[in-house]
Amino acid sequence: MAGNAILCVDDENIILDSLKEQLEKYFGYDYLYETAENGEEGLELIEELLEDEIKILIIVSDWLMPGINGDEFLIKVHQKYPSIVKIMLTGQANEEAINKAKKHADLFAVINKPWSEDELFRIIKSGLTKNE
Amino acid sequence: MKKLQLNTKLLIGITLIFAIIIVCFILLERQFSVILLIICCGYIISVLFISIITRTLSSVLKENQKKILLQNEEIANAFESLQESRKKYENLVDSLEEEYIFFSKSDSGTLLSVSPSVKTILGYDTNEFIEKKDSLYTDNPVNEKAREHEKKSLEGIQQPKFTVELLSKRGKAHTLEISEVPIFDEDNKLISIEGIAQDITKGKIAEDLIKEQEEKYRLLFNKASDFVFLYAIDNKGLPGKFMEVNDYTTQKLGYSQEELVRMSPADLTAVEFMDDTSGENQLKEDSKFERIWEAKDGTHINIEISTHSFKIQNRKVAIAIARDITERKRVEEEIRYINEELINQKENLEALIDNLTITQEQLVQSEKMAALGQLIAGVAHEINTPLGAIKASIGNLNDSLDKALEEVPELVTKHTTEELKLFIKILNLANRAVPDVSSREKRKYRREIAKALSERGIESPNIVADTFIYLHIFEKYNELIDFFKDNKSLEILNSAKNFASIQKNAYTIQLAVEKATKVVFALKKYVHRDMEGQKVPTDIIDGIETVLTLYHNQLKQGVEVIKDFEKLPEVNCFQDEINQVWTNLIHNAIYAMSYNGTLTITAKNKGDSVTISFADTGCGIEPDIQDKIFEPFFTTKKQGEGSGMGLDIVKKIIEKHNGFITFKSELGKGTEFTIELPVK
Repeated sequence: MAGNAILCVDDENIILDSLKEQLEKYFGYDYLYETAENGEEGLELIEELLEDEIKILIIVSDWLMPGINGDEFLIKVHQKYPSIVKIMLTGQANEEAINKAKKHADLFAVINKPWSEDELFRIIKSGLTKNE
Repeated sequence: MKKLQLNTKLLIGITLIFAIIIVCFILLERQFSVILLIICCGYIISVLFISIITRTLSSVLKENQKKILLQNEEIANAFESLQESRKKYENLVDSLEEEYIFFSKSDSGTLLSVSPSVKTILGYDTNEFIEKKDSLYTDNPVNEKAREHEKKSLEGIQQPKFTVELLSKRGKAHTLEISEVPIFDEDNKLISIEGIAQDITKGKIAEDLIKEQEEKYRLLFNKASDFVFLYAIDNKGLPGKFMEVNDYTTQKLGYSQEELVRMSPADLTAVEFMDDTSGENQLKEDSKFERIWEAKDGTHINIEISTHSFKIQNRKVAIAIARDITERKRVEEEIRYINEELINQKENLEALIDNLTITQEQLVQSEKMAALGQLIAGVAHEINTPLGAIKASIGNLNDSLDKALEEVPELVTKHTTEELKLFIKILNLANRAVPDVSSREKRKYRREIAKALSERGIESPNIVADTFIYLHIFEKYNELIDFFKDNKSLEILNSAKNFASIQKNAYTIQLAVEKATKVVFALKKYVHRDMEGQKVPTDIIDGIETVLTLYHNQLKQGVEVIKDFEKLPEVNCFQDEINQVWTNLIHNAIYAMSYNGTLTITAKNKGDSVTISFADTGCGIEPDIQDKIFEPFFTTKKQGEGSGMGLDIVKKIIEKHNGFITFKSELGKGTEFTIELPVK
């Protein structure tokens, strides 16, 4: 099963569900939309998907989550998979964390909750353009 | 008796004569008888004459005899009184012997005799004294003078009394007062010198003693470093002129003794203080009062006078001691000033304390706000997350609704009854509620479903399986899977998805609103400030839950919260303040555990009180700082991370509630804070 995927990481199911629905609505079935509830699961999932030869193009991650925070998660991802476009979707922008992620995870963009569809699609689209 | 004898004799005589005459006349011649008659008559006359004379003499004699008897009596009386006087004098002399020595000296000055009293007075026998006399003079200078007097006495010049000092047999000096009288013969030649010596030793000692005492008192009077003076008191009882003043008075006031005796104590009172005469009248009585005196040079001296009035030779006088209290007054004034200062300072301090109380209240408030500031970051996330979900869901919902509305006519017209049944079945199976299924499990189901679909030869099984997951159809996919035969059934699945999406997004919105509401409600509860400033019955658990809600986003990162709550009675609390305690302790616990660990919150009902403890599995508190943690401004956090006021405020709040806060901590294992609050 080959393909490209967009990974969403957030500890809130309501976010994951609505976000996934939005992406599917906009980008249709061109991509797989995967979700993880925290950083650890995200890292696991990336491995899993790679095994299935699914390439992750973009990761949209929350910042404040149980376990490892968004910035740390993205840094870890970046260390292994620098090509993945990393986007932070957060309810509260912790400047320090964002700067850290920008520096060490090549953070592509920060989207604030609540987000607008347009902003989300525009950023994801440009992220995809960057990666393809 | 004698008279009677005399008369009888006379009668016998006359009778006898007349008898003789008769005889004669009878026997004898006439002539002879005449003669004899004459003789007889003569005899009778003489006898009569003698009788008369005898009688007269006898009465005179009797008279004299009486007188003599009287005189004899007088003499006897005089003798008696003489005897008495003699006795008296003898006694006197005896007593004089105690003090007087009588002596006589020759014209050459040799001591001739001395009265035995010398033995009593000086202890010498008379001869011994006469022998030794010249060697008994002491070397007291009075003896020089005495010798001169003695010399002059020998020259016949009467000397006034003089004194000598002689040694007694016991070797004690005796002072004798000597009176010497030179005795001259008819030719005015000096025969001897008679003298009396009086032992005045005792008297002298007393005199010396008086002198010495007077000297002492005079010294005391003059050398006293107080004003000491005597002044007269006039008829009206008011102070009159000074009579005597001591050296200190003259020195201090600058007036001479002569000047002062023309003045009265009242004259010394400084003019500007003359109004104050209240004490002046008291001068007549024993009293104590204060004055301001003006010295001759104009200096003012504060004095405190004690007076005592009494009488000397019927004159009313007063003695007074006045003390210079200028320095004391100055010190008093200083003390009064310092006292005022102190009162001022006390007032200032009280104001400061009031301020501090206000400040403390403000501090509590600002700590609360600071905690809130820290929370707000997380709280923003807590609110923005549901808001994000709501916003996204509304967009999704709108789109799904549009699509669904579009599909309704087609659904009704185009599809067979069979297909419509599938549609209803899908919607029935779809669970709009968010099931307790993790994303991991969802992926497992998706794989399972995709596999099953793939086995039935359905295209894009992954996408179809994804739709199943979206519809929350997990275990029950088997009930549906048999109906999927062709693309048409997939169309129906997608149509159902659009309808389900409406429900699902609406439900997400509902959930999100609930989440946001909970946070907002907690926030509202947290910032609530009891304006009345009064204790109200408070649900402690509710307060802790509120704080936990606000800390949810921090806790969820890795802190497991174990709640071991007994049912607690309502506790009278300053609600907003007590919540700050939970905030602080929960915050500290999270910080100590670095967002990872277990926080056990235990609430126990002890009847009259409740205990709430917060046990973390954090780093613990270093033993050497354990006694400092409640001190204000003490913090182990980096600058800017904490004010160090947290636990200080916690302690103050607990004390304000008459409660206690204790803690036990073990390095590397954790810390447990326990709070006990009285219910009432």
